[in-house]
Amino acid sequence: MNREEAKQWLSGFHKGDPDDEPKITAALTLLEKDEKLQEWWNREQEFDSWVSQKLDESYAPSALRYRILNQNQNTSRIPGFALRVLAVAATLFLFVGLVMIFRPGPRVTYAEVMQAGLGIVSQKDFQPDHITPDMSNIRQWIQARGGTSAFQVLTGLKKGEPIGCKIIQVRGVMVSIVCFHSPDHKGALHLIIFDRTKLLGTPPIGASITQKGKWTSAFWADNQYSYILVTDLGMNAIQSALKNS
Amino acid sequence: MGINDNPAPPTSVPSDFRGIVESYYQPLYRFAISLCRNDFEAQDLTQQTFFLWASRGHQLRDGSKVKSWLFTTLYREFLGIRKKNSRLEPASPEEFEKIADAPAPVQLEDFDGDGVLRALMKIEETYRTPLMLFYLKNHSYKQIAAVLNLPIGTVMSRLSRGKQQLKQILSEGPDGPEDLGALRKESR
Repeated sequence: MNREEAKQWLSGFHKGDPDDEPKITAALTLLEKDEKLQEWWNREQEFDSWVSQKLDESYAPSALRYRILNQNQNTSRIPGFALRVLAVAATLFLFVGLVMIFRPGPRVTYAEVMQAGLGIVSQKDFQPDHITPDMSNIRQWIQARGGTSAFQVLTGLKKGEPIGCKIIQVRGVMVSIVCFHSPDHKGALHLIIFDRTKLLGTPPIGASITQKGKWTSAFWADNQYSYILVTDLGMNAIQSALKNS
Repeated sequence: MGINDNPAPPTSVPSDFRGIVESYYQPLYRFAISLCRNDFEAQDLTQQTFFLWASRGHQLRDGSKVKSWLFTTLYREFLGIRKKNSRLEPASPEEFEKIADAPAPVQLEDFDGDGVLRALMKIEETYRTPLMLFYLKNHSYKQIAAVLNLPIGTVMSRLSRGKQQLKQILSEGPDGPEDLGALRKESR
């Protein structure tokens, strides 16, 4: 093995990694004899340690930790083999019974609904399937099609006139899209609604806002429904629409 | 003296769910955002990984494999989503090439954590994924090979080339065209 090949193998090697791979063994053997290779590897380790440390300092949303813990607060590892076997047997029995009665419904993540919804409302020629400025009529139209009709419209959103609505399916979950003019009629905001029980994961506490290209969106949930509000009018439009008083 | 005579002490592995979340949610999120490049999806992916851990993790008898289990699960979930969305990109062919002495990164002290993450995000995906694992929680080359289901030689080649790309990007300074803020959500 020459020095260049040894560099390639040592480049992905942490001190303390297993050294039983023949190429690694050969590279480490050469390292002990080759001073220039040692100097290179010392610099490489310093660099790796610096990158790891910096990466550990990079952003990670602290709210995510709460979402995960909240989602799984009732789930814990079962101690003891016997208890585990009993629990598995009981679960299987219950599961088979329930499957006989109910087929489990599909569930979706916010990201999946967001992607599907954005794919539709971002089309240049997008138009709701049912066009009316009457919110009661919109609710009736959605209800008649088995959609999520008793959703809440925030006060900030009510300042703009309804445009109409549409129903889509995302991985078997029925999702309603209700479109509103912005208060100044310069654009539209789209409220995407689906049943909270169909949400895979736990919604954030309060609303969270996210940006994807020119599209800004907020996602939140109440006791009954999960919501995503999306617009290309920017952050201010979303924040105004989210006001509920 | 052998290079491995004084290995780093093994990291203790928490056994309770909360401890595992505390230890791994940040590196898993960082790995996720390097894969899907979207804060929204990265959070969902991380949450889904812990959901699977909560429901299936007890099947893992060897507590020392928690890290590999979590990262492998997250990666497989990501591949599943991407396959479903038909956004698969062809992998680059592997080449064994001479290691050029990449220009030494200058002004490294100018980079903060987000700056380094931004630099990593600019690396081609083929090299970025193993490199993120290499730097997050110090995955060994064998663990990276297991998570990504790749031969060890391929992992080494990708790590080496990924690091060269990273050094090149860092040497250009902390200001880059890509804004990590665009990937990141703002919480109210």
